Amino acid sequence: MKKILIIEDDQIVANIYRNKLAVEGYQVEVTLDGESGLKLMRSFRPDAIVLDLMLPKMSGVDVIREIRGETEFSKLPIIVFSNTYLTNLVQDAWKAGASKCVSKISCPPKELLHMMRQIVGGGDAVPQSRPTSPAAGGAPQTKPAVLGSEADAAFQAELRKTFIGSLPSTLGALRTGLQSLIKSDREVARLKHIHELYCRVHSVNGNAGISGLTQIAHLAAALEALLKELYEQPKNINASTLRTVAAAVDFLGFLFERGTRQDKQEIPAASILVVDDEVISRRAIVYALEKAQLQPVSVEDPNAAIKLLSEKRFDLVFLDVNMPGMTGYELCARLRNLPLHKKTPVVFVTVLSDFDNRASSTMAGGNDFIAKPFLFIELTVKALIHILRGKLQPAK
Amino acid sequence: MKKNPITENETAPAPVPETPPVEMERLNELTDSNLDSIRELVDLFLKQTTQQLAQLEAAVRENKADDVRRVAHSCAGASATLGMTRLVPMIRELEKQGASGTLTNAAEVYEKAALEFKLIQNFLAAQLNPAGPPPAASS
Repeated sequence: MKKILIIEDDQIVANIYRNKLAVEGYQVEVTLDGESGLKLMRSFRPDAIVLDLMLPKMSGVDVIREIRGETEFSKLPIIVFSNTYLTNLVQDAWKAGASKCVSKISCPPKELLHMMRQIVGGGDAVPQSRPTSPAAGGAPQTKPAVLGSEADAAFQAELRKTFIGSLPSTLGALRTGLQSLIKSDREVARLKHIHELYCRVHSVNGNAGISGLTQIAHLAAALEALLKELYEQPKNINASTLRTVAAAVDFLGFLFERGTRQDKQEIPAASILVVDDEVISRRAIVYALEKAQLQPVSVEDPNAAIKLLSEKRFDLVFLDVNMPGMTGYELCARLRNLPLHKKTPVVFVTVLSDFDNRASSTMAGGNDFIAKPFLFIELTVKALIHILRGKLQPAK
Repeated sequence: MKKNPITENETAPAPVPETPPVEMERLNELTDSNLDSIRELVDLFLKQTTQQLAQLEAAVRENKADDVRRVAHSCAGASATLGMTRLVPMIRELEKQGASGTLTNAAEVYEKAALEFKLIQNFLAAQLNPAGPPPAASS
């Protein structure tokens, strides 16, 4: 029987994967952190490892390096669960020797099974009736008697039902964590709350991903990446980033209510316009949007922007404020007079982050505000919120 | 997640290292660490900022406060985006003085900014061409 070791700090997620693999005839062990994972690897001697990159104590990348440093495990297949929005971390994982990097969003249990069959073979023996330790911990159990695609669909439906049932308490915990973060005025306390919130969002990401709730998983993945950046670089904690974190938690609540329909799980295609006269800032905005697989149109001239806006409907507009010939506020006011863009979300991106300018942006018909220099992932989170909200709650 | 020194380092605080002129992490993130993309972006920044500093020098010399504000605003945006952490406050100060209409010590601030820009050029050259330029051919 082929042996698989899963190193994953979210016990529910780990158990779901374990149960799926165990029921298909693999011998599976689960461990919740990197250090114990390495220890178990030496005694269990798996044929492959499934590793979450975001682990407590020792990072997933360090675990890969340790594994590759031991001659007898230097060729051991390591499948890494990564976060799409943490591109640098994924690159580090590849460099350290990962065999495959996948996101949980694109790797439900049946996909992991398929991958394992390809990489190590097996997975078609008499299934185990009960998984090995640790205890299942609330995850739905699969029934060995039910096989094939029908069983996969039933399994996925059960996962989704369990996850959706837990959403009210999850949202309560997220809101409590956010309140603690907003109220804390000392940096040490703030970092503690950011880390706690990060852990909760990481769990939402994993559970939504394997339940097939793509929109929730995407937003949670982006928010997780933003919280990680704030934790590691506290100088980036400011009114703008905290406001974005709060908006994302709030919008997760919206998605928990309206974003769980099975037929509405794709990240919708969206047309986005970026207007900034300065090429480097424009490129940074475009890059941040591309991280969310969004393909914006960018222009430097506000007059060219007006022409485009009058011809084509955009789902979201990013505007610089200080541009020659026409300010972003003037452009926004003109845009609101166009029939296609009376309700289009407009986000101002500018170094002018004082209150007066926030007031000006609101009066000109803007919806949101982000201060330069922005974190790329902060802008990605904002874009996802506006795009998903627009698609789930179309303007009247 | 990486350990955060503020919460997890219990030993005596280490001396604060000098802030480098360029936050390379931002450049790497913006370009996914692709060296060709970094070079392209750096070339763009150096050309653009060279022009902007020349415009700022002229505007300060001729006491044109609104021109100082406008050019400094654009320069600050690009510099902040690319992580030129030490240059940004100097350019912001010029923008502030330009917006107030009174260029109190703008010439002095401009000189500091121009010097910092030279340090940025040297830093980036060392980062992108660690071996340095090939030696000049002897005659």
